[in-house]
Order: sequence, then C-alpha cells, then structure tokens
Amino acid sequence: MMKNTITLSNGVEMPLLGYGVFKVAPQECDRCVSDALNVGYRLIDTAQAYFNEEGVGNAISKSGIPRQDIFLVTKVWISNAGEQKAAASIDESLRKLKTDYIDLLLIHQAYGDVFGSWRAMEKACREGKVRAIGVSNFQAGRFFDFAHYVDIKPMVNQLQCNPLVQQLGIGPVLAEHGTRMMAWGPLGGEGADGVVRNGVLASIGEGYGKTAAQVALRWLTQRGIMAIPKSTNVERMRQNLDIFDFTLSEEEMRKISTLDQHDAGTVNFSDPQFVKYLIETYG
Amino acid sequence: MQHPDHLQHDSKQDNSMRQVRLNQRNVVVIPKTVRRERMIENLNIFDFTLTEEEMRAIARLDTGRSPIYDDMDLQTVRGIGTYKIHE
Repeated sequence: MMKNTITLSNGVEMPLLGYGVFKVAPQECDRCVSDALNVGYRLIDTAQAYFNEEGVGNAISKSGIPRQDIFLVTKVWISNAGEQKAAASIDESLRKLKTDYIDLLLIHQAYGDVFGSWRAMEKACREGKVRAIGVSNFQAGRFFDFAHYVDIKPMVNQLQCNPLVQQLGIGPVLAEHGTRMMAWGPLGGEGADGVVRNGVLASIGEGYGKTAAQVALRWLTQRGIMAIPKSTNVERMRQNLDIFDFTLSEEEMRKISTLDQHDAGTVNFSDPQFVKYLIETYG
Repeated sequence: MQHPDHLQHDSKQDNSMRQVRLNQRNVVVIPKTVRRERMIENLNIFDFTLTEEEMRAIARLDTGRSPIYDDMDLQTVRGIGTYKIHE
C-alpha cells in the first residue's frame, strides 16, 4: 500500500504522509495508532522521549498489517546520546515497538555526543536493525557541522515546517547532502498557530473542497516534504490523509510562499535555557 | 572605539580608549598588536578602577551578539569547517 512515497538517499522508500504521536498520552497511544492504521496511515512517527513507543508497538502488532507495509520512525533522546547508550537505546526501542527493525531512526536533538550516537546508528544500519538514519531539529549551521564530518550522510532532517515556517533557508544545505526534509508541526503549534485558520489556505481549499489544514499538508507533500500531523480524532486523521486527490497550482504555491513568517522555525535551539529545559523535562 | 561613552571616559581619566576596555570583569584578555607602544599601553591597565557608573555605561554598549562570529550561522560553520591548514 506504498503510495505517495519518496525515495531516500540509500534507496529506501518512505511514505510522504504519516501519523505523529508527539504529546499523545501513553495510555491513549495504542487506541490512536490503531485508529490511524485503520483509516490507512502506514507511516508512524514516535520517539523515545514521547514515552509511547509501547503503545505504537502494541497497535502495530495487533493490527494484522504485515510489518513490511508499515514505515516506523523513532528517535534517540539526548540522555541516550553516545555510542554505547544509543546502541542500548535502539535495542530498548525495538523491544518496546515489538519489532526487529526500525525503518527510520533519527537523532532527536542536536545535543550531547551526537557523533557517538551516529556511529551506533550506522552500525545498527549495517546489522539490519535500522533501514535509514537521520537527524531532527538540526538547524542549518549545526546540520552542516554534523553532516560534513559523518561517513553516512543523514537521509532525513525532521524540522518544524508548515506554511508559516517554510524552512526555505536550510533547503540548499540539505540538498547538498542528499537529505530530505520531514515536517513536525505541519499544522502549526509551537508559536506558529493559525495554520488551520489561515484565510489564504482556506480560500485555496474552497476550490478543491478541502480545508486549510488539508491545503497545508498538500503544500508540504507537493514540495516533497514528509509530514506527520497528529490528531486523536478519527475524523481528523481521515481528513489529514485525504490530500492526494488534488494538486496545488504554481500560482497557489506562490501565494502560500508569501505566508512565511519564521523561516527557520519558532524555537531558538541555541538558547541555553531551552537546552536546559529539554534536559530537565525529559531527562 | 568610536563610541561617545568611550570618548567621555577618556576625557575624565588619563587612560586611552583602548585601555578602558581591558579591565575589571575578571575576563582573561589577549589583545593583539604588532606595535611595541600598543603592547605597553595594553598592559598598563591595572593602575585605575572604573566606577560602578562607568561599568554600567559600558554595559549599555552590549549588542547581545558578536558582529563577526555566530557559531550557529551556516556560512560561518561552513567557512571554519572547510578551512584547510595543510594539504
């Protein structure tokens, strides 16, 4: 059921649209992912720091959907940075996810011993525990500093991206390393609220019988960016997936490009207070 | 060096503008010069003490960022990261 996919730099095929479980409570996660798989999602994005990998694993294992039809993404948290700790955390994630491989494994944040983590991830790739590896929240300068020195270049960089946060600036440095962008917060949030209520997106959507949110997701996927909207509501899950039956015109894409407000995102990843907050909140 | 607060300070005391910058916050400083008289001048800063008011006035000069170096900036990182010191 691999439709609307892109191909990563190592040849792995990945769906453009998936279901994200950031802020989905552990006790709700099994039900949510079951619903998502039911309505047709085949890409699921979780993370060690979401504390809900077990729910994802439960939902997948009881779904009856063949494992190879599902694309599973998880992320190594800061406290597991470093070669040994990252390696152990990969095995822990596999156990919680009830699977023997992860489709895409990302370094969640650009802090701690990320080069050590990467060596563990490259090894996991060679051992078949992981099919593709990448990073998340690596801003342009930090991304270059990382990608320039590692043997296997990151296949993905997952960043905040939506019509108000377009990430045009980082595009060339990602392309230079064969890295695909993946969007967290594709419908706003984290200081970029208003995507789903945006008048320009809504009026474009009217022409296709689509909502502003659906236009936002189409805009991302049409740019070749993987998007992982989160919802706990089945009807919303269905709407978010129902975006591949229309194509935005060049004129509409241009109109949306004028909505960019915070090109590199709303989070200041080099603020020491933010780094401290992450480490204190999630360990 | 051109900031009016520096000029004002300079007129009050007998130290040059450049000397005013090198004192009192317990920051280890390594001014560079190729001129001998500047070396002497740069070293000769421990015989006066800035007042609190002067320290405050200088604090107001802070722009909050380095005008020449941002280690998160792509061009900076690329420039330093690809700088060759040998073949």
